[in-house]
Amino acid sequence: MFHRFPCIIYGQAVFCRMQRTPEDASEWQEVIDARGRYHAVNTREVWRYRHLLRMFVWRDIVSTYYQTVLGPVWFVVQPILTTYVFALVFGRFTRISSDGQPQAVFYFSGVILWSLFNESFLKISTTLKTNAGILKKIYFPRLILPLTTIIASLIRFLIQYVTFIILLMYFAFTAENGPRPNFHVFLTPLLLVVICLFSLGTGLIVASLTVRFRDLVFLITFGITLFMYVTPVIYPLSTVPLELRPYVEINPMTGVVEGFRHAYLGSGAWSWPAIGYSAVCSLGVLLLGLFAFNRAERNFIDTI
Amino acid sequence: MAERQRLAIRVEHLSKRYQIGKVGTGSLLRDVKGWFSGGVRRLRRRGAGPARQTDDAYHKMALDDLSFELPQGEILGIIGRNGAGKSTLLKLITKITSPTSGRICINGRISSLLEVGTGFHPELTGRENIFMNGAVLGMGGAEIRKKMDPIIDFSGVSAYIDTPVKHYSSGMYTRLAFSVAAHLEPDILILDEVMAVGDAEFSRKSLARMKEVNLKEGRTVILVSHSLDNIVSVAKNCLHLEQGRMKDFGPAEQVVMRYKDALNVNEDSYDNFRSAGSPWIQLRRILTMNLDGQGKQKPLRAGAAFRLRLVFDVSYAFAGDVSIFIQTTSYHPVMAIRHSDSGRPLDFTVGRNIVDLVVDRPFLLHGKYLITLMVTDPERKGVYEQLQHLPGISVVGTRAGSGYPSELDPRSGPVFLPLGWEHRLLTDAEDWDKPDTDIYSDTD
Repeated sequence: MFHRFPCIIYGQAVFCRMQRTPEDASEWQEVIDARGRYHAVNTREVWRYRHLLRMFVWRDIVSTYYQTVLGPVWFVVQPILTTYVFALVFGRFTRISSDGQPQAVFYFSGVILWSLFNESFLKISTTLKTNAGILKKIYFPRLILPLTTIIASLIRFLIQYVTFIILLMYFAFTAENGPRPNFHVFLTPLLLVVICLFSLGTGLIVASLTVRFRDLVFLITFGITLFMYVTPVIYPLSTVPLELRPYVEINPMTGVVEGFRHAYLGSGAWSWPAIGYSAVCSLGVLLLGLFAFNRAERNFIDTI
Repeated sequence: MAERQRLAIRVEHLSKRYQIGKVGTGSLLRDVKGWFSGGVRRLRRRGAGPARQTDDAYHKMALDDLSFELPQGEILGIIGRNGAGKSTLLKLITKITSPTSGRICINGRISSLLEVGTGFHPELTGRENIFMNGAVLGMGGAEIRKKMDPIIDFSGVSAYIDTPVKHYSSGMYTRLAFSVAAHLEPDILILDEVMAVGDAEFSRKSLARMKEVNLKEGRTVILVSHSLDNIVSVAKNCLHLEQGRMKDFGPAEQVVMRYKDALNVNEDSYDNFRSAGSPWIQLRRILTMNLDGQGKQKPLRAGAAFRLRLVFDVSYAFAGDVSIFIQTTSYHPVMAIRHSDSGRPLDFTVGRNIVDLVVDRPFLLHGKYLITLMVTDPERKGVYEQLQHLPGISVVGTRAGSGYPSELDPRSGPVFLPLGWEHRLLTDAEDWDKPDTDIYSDTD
């Protein structure tokens, strides 16, 4: 009987309507319908599945190097070998500047930051496809999968980071013009958050699109290699000619990598505008990614 | 007002449209067009309800405007041919994919036994996989730890629980996986026998678990099965899907009975059945006649004698043989009879030939029966005519006073003979005490 109850508020007649019949509102624990909540991430649901997230991360880490002799040492061997090759090819053969820093720390810092982005991005962008088997059988918040990748990548990064610190201390004490860490190191978490948000965002966008357009996978795997060359990983920003700098600086990864190098090595520059730009970009990309992913996850099983 | 029975699931106007065809170079253009025209349509019909969607060249309605209710604590069976929408419905209920329109309202936690072994990783040990699988199925850490021991006990693989599951036999693997699933405590259990990969043992186990969950704990169950017997024996209500629409809904026995009948819809078609056989003999008609051969009789009643008449057009005289096989609609053989076994020759002459099978001792009960017919030439070892699974004989009801059962007992077979009974007192003169020839004896 209160369905249309006229209330008089400040002389205005307003029809108060109950938005839904009581049965709709209270009787059902869950309602599945065609309209998705494109705008919102169901954080409560993700929280409810936190145990699954933990198990996935654990499985990810443990199963990667299962039945290998070196085990988790591989987390460190990979960047060390990459650093060595970079130092050889770019440092010795082509003599690209390392901003006066020892090549080992210069390349290693770039490599571990880059692989944090690179690996999580690539893995997230194919996450729906690689996990199709399980996703076809059971429901859980799909966002758990990309989150797993991010957390697992971060753990891998931390192991590499410890190695980096050891390397850094060695050179800081031995090399004459060596790395000079400064107070910006305390802002490292900020940089990591920006990288994670950025790789999550871009990964989600690509993941959503690859559901329908597989072509993108080919484009991405080769595009990501090119993307590394417009990020100051193998060269310092200072060597980029001024007129070309905007093309490198438009890349959200640039400010972060430069900032990280500055904090630990003392070379390069900590530029708040560049890092702020990176952060804003990452947030924007993340929102777009969440939107696309929320849209794609509802029906991707039909097309995969 | 009396309290309404609480519902576990309510499905309202549920539709699911799938895109069919290949995703190729054309699909991008089509997508863009689709988004554009969709946007325009939305703008035009603002406020109006969603447009009714139908099949077209690129889309197929897997489910079309389906509505039903499932009260708590009931077992619902779902039947239908392949592609009728059964699995789609389950996928929608379990949130694996989402509906195109309509909605599903759910009360309670859902879990399905088609998830058995989901998330198992071959490199992890049995114990680790229990944690993994439990987490995938939505259990929390504490819940899994609490149930760990019962799960291991139930699985019967406790000796190998700390061995990676890749070293398990497939039987152990399935047992462990099933054990985890069986210890879930869902409010609504979904069981898809069609999808379930597993042996008969596994199928039996899941069915047993389902009954237990329903009876002891009063939980709701949805069962999809191709085994109509399973449906009848456990389900209260049954939903029959056909091409995404609800064809039938109601008490399970009735729905299954109608479904079985509908398996042979074109029952009249055999009357003027034309077959493509050999050039010199052609079956024209099969029909059921009264015993005296005067007048058609259809449908038949159980206990009524009849003739099964075959009409052939023969253009070349030969000594042949006719065999008739009678089967139930689920292809179980009932009987086979061959003309040559009667010891008399069957000489087909040019013209219209009539061959009657005289069923003067009726043996079929209520139901439909398929006829497979073969005309052979024993001399030349040739099969001249072979017609398989014709929807041949339908028996409806019982002739009164014939001694045939008037109601169909699901435990009985399709064949019945009105055998006699006798009852009297044993006289002392009779020597009956020879236990060695008895079927059963309880002498002390």
